[in-house]
Amino acid sequence: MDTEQSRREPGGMAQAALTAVASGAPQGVPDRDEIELWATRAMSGERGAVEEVWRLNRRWVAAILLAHKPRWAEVEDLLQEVAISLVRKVHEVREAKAFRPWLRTVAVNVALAAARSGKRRAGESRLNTGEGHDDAVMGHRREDLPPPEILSDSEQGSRLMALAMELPDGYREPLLLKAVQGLSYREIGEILDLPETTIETRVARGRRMLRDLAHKNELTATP
Amino acid sequence: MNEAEHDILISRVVDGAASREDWAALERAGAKEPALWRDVAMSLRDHARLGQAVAAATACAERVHATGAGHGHESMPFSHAVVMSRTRRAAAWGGWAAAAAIALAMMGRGTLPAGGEGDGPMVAGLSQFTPGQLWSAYVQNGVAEGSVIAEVPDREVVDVEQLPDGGGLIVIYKRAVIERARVENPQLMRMSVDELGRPVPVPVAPTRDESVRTPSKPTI
Repeated sequence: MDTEQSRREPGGMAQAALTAVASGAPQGVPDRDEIELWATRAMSGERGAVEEVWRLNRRWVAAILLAHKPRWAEVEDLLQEVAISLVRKVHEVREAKAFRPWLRTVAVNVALAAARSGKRRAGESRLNTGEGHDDAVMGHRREDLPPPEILSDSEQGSRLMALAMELPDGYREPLLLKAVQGLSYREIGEILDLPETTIETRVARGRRMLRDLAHKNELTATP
Repeated sequence: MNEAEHDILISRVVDGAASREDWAALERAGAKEPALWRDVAMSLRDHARLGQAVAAATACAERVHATGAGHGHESMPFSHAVVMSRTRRAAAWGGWAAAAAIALAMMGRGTLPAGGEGDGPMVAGLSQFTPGQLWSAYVQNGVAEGSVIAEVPDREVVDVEQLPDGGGLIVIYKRAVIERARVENPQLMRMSVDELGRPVPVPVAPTRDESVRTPSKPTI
């Protein structure tokens, strides 16, 4: 297990990080068989396999958290909770195929628990967007951002993501998963436990909804 | 062709997965409805921007590890994990100055063990171990006895030098450990600045776990 070894050897991590930065290459999309292999080993209690299966899946887990987290919560904090749940409970997963849906459920529950605790702390103070979403449990607010005409490209991206948070759950989640690292529709379907064709339809519809929202907000002004 | 079919065709173009038939259908539809091409262009641009924004928002995932092997993280309470997370984030945001600003300096009459003191005599036999083995033993034993919470997974690169022969790099980096110590009669100080901008220690009351979990004010 090269990755694990390099992580334990002095300098291995820094060198790996440097290599990643130098190459500028995105994290490769892991193969389904590879994930199921590592999941099986992790479920059987192999410690190194737990870390590896987490490494292979953590990026899309972050996207799930992004889709469900309350605005005030940090993705990184919630990821820590998901990682801890993984370490403690992965042995409870019955079969490797069920691993990713299980991990997604853990992530959603962590995000929802954070939202509930936040509401308690905030004394149930809420702000409704008027579109059926409780803004207190959404990730971003479009009014937090400056007007679109003065935004840089990255700020335009942030604003677009804020708009994506206004999409209904069924569209927001697959759209963010598709954006995060180029997961295939089949893989997203496996994670969300939905047919591949449903995912393709939802992503396509979600893109149109986002486009319409952006257009309405003059984000994508007509040339 | 209805709206749902348009959506699918545009989406396939965005994904780079449109077939010859898809392109033919799109051209036919675009000939009747030129605004379709604007939708294609906008979708491509939105996809690129959203991809960058989501990638930036989820990049922190690379710093979160489900480490267990030998470091005792399996039993690490959430508050400790969050402390580690925030310490890393502070260091990433503002370098060590920011990290120091949120760290509490333990001063005064405390009995905080200092490096080099109370570590016991150097045993000659240790020379048979590599520094990596000794470091690992320190972390594992520290976790076992409770003086070490965990090693911070990330290492901060301080400097990188190219080897003259081009055969690689010399990487200089910092590694950090979160330790726990019992302090008798503690006086906790927080580093601040006075009116002239000079660093000064300011006494603070000890905080409890619940405050550590508060997201907006990281405090150790």
